[in-house]
Amino acid sequence: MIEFSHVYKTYSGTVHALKNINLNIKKGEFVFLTGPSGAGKTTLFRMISAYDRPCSGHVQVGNYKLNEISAKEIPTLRRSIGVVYQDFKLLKAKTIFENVALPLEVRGEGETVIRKKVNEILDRVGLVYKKGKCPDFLSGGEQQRVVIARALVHQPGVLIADEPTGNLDPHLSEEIMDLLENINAQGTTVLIATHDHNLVKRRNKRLVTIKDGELSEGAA
Amino acid sequence: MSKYINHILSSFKTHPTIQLTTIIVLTGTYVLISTFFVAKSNIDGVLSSWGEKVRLNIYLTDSATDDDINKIKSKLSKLKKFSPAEYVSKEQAAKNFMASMAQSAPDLLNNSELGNPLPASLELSIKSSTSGAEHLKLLKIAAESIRAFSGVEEVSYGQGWVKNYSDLVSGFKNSSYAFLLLLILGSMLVVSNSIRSSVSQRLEEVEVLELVGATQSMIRTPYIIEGMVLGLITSILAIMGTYLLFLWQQSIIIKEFDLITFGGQFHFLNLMQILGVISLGVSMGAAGSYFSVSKINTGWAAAKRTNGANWQ
Ligand SMILES: Nc1ncnc2c1ncn2[C@@H]1O[C@H](COP(=O)(O)OP(=O)(O)OP(=O)(O)O)[C@@H](O)[C@H]1O
Ligand SMILES: [Mg+2]
Repeated sequence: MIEFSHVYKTYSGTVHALKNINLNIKKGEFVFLTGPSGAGKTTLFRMISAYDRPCSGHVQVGNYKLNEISAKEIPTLRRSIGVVYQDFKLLKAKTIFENVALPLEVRGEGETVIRKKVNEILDRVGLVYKKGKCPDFLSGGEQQRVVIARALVHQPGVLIADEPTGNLDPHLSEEIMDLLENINAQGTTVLIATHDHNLVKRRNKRLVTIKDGELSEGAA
Repeated sequence: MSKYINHILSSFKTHPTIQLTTIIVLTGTYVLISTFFVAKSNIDGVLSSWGEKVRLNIYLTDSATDDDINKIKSKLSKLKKFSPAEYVSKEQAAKNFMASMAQSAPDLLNNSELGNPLPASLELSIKSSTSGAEHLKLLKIAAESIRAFSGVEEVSYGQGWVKNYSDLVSGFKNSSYAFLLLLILGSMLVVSNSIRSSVSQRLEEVEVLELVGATQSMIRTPYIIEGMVLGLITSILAIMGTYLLFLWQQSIIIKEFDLITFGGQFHFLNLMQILGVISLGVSMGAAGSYFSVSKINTGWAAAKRTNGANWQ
C-alpha cells in the first residue's frame, strides 16, 4: 500500500532529512514510526501525502507513483488518504464542523451526508458539543481531536497520523488509539508517528524507527 | 452562491484598504475607457460630417459629347461608396460662382464681356457611412479610373487637404487604440494585484484546501468570481460616473461651441456600448484574477512554502 525505495530528501541544500529510505507497508497493516525529534518523521509523512516530493528514489501509495503524479491526480490521491498533521492545519476562520466537513465537501458530498458523517465522527472523538466553535477557542488536545476527525471523516483507505496524541492526556491517548485500531480493523492501513514509547509497548504492532534520516525495523 | 458571497465579504474584511484602492483605480480606468468611447463616437460623427464635404469634381472639356458624359456617369454609378454623380452645367457653374462671389466682388456680376470660362462638371461625394481613414484611398482610385475617359479635362478632390484630413483620422485612430489597449491591460493588472493579495492573505486556506484534495478549479473559482464582481461593480460605477461627466461637459460644450460642429448631435454611449464596457470589466476581472491565482494554486502550495520559492 505504501512503498518507499531509495528515497532521499534534502532541504535547502544541506539538511539531509531522509537518507535511502526503504519501507513497505501492506494493505491493512498498523505501523508505528518512532524516532527522536528532528529524525525525519514528518518529512517521511510528507512524501506519502504528496505534500512534498522526494529528491530521488520512488514512493508509491496505492496505485499512485508519486514521482510521476500529475497535477490532476494529486487531488484524487489526497482524497483517498487521511492525514493528521503535527501542526494541525485547521482553518481558523471556519468552525469545527466546517473544518471536519472539508474532505467531504471537496468530494462533492451532499449536505445531508456531510451533516450525518461529521456529527458521527465528532461524536467518536467526543467533540460534538464544540462543533460551532472556531479552532482558536479550543484547547490543544481538542484541536488535535478535530484534526483526527477530519482525517477519518471520509473513511480513507490509508491513514497517516503525525503525533496524533502529542497533546492528549494518557486516558484520551488510549481512547484515540482504540479508535485508530478500530478504523484499522475495518480495513484502513494505518501509520502513526509518535514519541510515546509506553503507548507503543502496550500495543503489539509493527514498529519502525527513524534516526538522522535513516530507517530501521524494530525499536532503536 | 452564498459561499462566493462569503468569500468576497471576507476579502473585504481582511484587506479593506487594498480593495477600496482597487475599486477607485478600476472605476477611474473604466471612466477613462468609457469617456474614450463617448469621445470617439462623437468625434467620428464630426469627421464623417466633414467627410461629406469631401467631393470629387470631374471637370469636362467643352467638347465633351452627351455620349462621353453618359459613359463617365455609368462608370461613376459603379463606385459603391460614392453618392450618385450630380451634373453641373457650364451655366450652373457660372451661377454658383457668381453667387459665391456676390459679396466679395459684386462687379463681376455685371461684367458680361468676360464670357463664361467655367467648365461643366460632374460632382460626387463619399457616402457618410465610410470611415474617414479610407477617404483618400477611395478618392485616388476613383480619380485614376476616371481621368483617362474622353471628355475629362481634369479630376480634382482637393488632394492636399484631403490627405491631411485622412492622416489626421487614421492617426487619431491608431494612437487612440494604443491608449485604449494600455488602459485595458492596466485594468487587468489592477484586478490581478488585488486578487494576488486576496490569495496571499489566504495562503493557509489554499494550502489546507489543496491538502484535503480540492481541485484547482474548486480553489480558483471563488477568486475568479471575486475578480469578475470587482470588474462588474467598477464598470457599472464608471458608466454612471461617465454619464455625470457627460451631462456636465455637454452643457459646457453646447454653450461654448456651435452644435453644428458636432453634426448637430452630441450623444452618450448606446446600450450595446454600455454592455460592451461592462463585459470588458467582467472579463478583465476574470482574466486578472486567473493570472494571480493560477500562479499560487499549483497543487504544491504547501511544498513551495516549506522549501522556499525556488522549489520545483
Ligand atoms: N522546511 C524545512 N527546511 C529545512 N529543513 C527542514 C525543514 N523541515 C524540516 N527540516 C529539517 O529536516 C529534519 C527532519 O525534520 P522533521 O520535521 O521530519 O523531523 P521530525 O522527526 O518530524 O521531528 P519532530 O519529532 O520534532 O516532529 C530536521 O533536521 C529539520 O530541521
Ligand atoms: Mg515531526
